[in-house]
Amino acid sequence: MKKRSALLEYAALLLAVERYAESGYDVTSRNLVKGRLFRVKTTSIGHPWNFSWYEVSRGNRSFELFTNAKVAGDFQDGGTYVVDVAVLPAGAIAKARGQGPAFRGFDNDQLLTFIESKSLTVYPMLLAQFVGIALEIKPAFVRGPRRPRGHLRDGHFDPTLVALGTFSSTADKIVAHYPARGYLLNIVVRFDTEASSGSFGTIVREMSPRMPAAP
Amino acid sequence: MSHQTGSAVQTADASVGLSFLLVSRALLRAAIEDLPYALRENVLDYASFVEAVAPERAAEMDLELDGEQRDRVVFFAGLLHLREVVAGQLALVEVAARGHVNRDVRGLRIGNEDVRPGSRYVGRMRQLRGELDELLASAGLSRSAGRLSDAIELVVVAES
Repeated sequence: MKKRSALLEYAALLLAVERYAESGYDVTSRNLVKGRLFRVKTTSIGHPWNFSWYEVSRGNRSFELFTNAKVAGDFQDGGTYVVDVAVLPAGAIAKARGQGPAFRGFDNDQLLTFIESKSLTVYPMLLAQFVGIALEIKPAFVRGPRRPRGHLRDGHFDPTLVALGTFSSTADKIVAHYPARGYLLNIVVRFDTEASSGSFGTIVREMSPRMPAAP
Repeated sequence: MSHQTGSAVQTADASVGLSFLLVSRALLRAAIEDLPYALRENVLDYASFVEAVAPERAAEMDLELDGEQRDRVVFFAGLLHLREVVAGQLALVEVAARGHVNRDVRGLRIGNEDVRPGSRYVGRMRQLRGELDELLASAGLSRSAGRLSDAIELVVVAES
């Protein structure tokens, strides 16, 4: 199942990449290994600069998209978390490399948004766990309706949970109330069904914040 | 062909395929024993769940399951779940292996294994998916079948 998790995380990474591509960003792969293969970081172990990542660029703005990134929590209590897909400012991985073995994770303010992926049906406790993750790492997206500065300008998506299963029980009703609570979160279900269509276009356009309609 | 269940030995009528085999959770376990541990346990966990909820689900369909019918539902539902898991993984593999957005990427390296459109791993997944489709089709389950209600309907209708 390690491979299954890795594939799901990589597919979630591609979802993020496609979101930026749809927003007009150019996409470049970085640090490919022999055979032009993308070396996927599958766990918290290992230094990020030894794996592959995607860079997205638009005008003078660039960001790095990476799997299984260790990041500090927002509360400066020493807590670190490993997010399945991280969006970081350009140069974050090079800066990490400069720290060498002393690198303990990305600073919280380097993390612009993230994706968590689960090979599970979306049930109420899973949603509660994801809200808790968002609260620990990026509380602005669950504590108030105001996104961080630059979030909309740069076309970042809100923190997202991607699941292979569908909603169970009352889970869909819970998610329907998120806007009223001020939660700025995306919940994507049946992710593999979308992937099998060959494109994430539908998901990308429905993720919050909604992308402007094409002219 | 004969299969031993927890309580009896049943000889199948070959002309009607799997539908009339007395199958069980034990047979499901035997059918998936060569799969990776985590995948096997995923399917068996699902089978336990089905065992518990199948009678209630059948009742919602105005149907009643006896013990043997519930065993068959568990078997077929387990295989349907396995097919769904494999199909989902295959979809992700194919998206990942073809490089998708960025054409410079020819595939993935996950641990020590390469995942590309023509790699052995992708081929194995496609083969497993094909075998499952064939097995379930022989029992009367279409490619679109995937729900517990499909398994219940198959078992009850097959005996009516």
